[in-house]
Amino acid sequence: MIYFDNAATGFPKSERVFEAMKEAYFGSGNAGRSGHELASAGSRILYNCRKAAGVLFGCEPEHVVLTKNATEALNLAVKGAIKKSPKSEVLISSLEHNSVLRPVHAFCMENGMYYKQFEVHLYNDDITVENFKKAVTRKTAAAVITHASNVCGRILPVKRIAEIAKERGILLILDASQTAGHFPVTFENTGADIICVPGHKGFYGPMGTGMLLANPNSRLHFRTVMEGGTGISSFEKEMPDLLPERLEYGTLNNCGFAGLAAAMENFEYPADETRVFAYLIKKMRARDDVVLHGAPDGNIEDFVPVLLFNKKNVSCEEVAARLNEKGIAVRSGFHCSPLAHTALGTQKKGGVRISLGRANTVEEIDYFLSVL
Amino acid sequence: MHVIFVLSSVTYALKSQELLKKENIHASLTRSPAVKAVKGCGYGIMLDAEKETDARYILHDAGINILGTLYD
Repeated sequence: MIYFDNAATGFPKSERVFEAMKEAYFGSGNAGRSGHELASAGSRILYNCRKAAGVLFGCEPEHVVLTKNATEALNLAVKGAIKKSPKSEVLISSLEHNSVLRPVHAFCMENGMYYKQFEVHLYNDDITVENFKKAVTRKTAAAVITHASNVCGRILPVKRIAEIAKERGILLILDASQTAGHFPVTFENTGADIICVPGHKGFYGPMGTGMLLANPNSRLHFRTVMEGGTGISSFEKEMPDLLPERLEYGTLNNCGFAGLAAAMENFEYPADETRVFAYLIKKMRARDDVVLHGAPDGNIEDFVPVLLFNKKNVSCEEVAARLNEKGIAVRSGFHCSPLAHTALGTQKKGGVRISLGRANTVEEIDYFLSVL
Repeated sequence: MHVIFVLSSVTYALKSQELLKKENIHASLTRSPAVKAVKGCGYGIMLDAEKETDARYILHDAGINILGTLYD
């Protein structure tokens, strides 16, 4: 199998991650619930995961909320941290995934608020930043933006956007689902107030893991979205005041977070992805039977290795099915991102997405091209 | 004699344990008896009472709030 679907989940996972999960499965109890050895082992597993994340993102363990995926983290951030104020606005970009669009839509509908988009220019960051600046009004309460598109891979100039947001007192929530693990994402280099990530994509951790990371300098207060047992303050009807427990309800996934901790400890960012991606782009551009959508054009450094294309006169679903028959995994359709497909002009027919990971090679690209 | 620092959560208890370990102060994780501050179950760390003052300084410097103190 040649796996070109790393934007959905990173593959292959490592043995080290699996071993850590197995150890947790047989050797830990319910974290934060008791003082006995097994429960304490569970608590240490979660703490080690928070610590490993803190090292990568630049925060303390207590600023790392463990979630089941990036979508849950984004829901907790949008519904918990954005100030509720009738008629105020939330800004999103034109490349957002439904994991941003849907919670923002629901939150705004429930609270008499509005949301609007600013356009991302694929080849000129100055225009993107200007678009963001123009979209900001005195009613803007928050911006929720992707760090990079899951459809075309374009990285947004988030640091510049964060500077404007900070000046204007706008909360900035960053969806780093497609960037975390591909290159360093930190509070310092993004300027975000909250970063939401999956554990299973760029970090190659287990599916069913994600994190909300809160900037220690942002003085955030979260309303809770879900409530339940936390193992502490049992006679209180409210959830604990402090992170991370304020946003963590019920039993957490020890095995998953043991695996994620193993994946993040001593993490090495991929060195060869951009070279392989550049090769793919060059070869695909040379073909006259395919159309590329939003692909890099002299600015490959502004993209994570994701390419959307269509083969002329063949539906995207058929292309994906035929590739699968030849042992090549890609994803076709709309990728849960109607906004991005609309921005790229593929809202009617969708597209075929290739998303590379750390294990992909130039030889695999050559085989794919021969099959295509 | 031992002292137990009652902390906000198991996360803070583990962080405190780690910070103290770096300064060669051994502390063990413990479920703390209920105290007013935690209104029910809570976590703490138990250490030699002779190290109490040093440990308080270390945790204070790290911004960790001790909710209650118990002596054993």
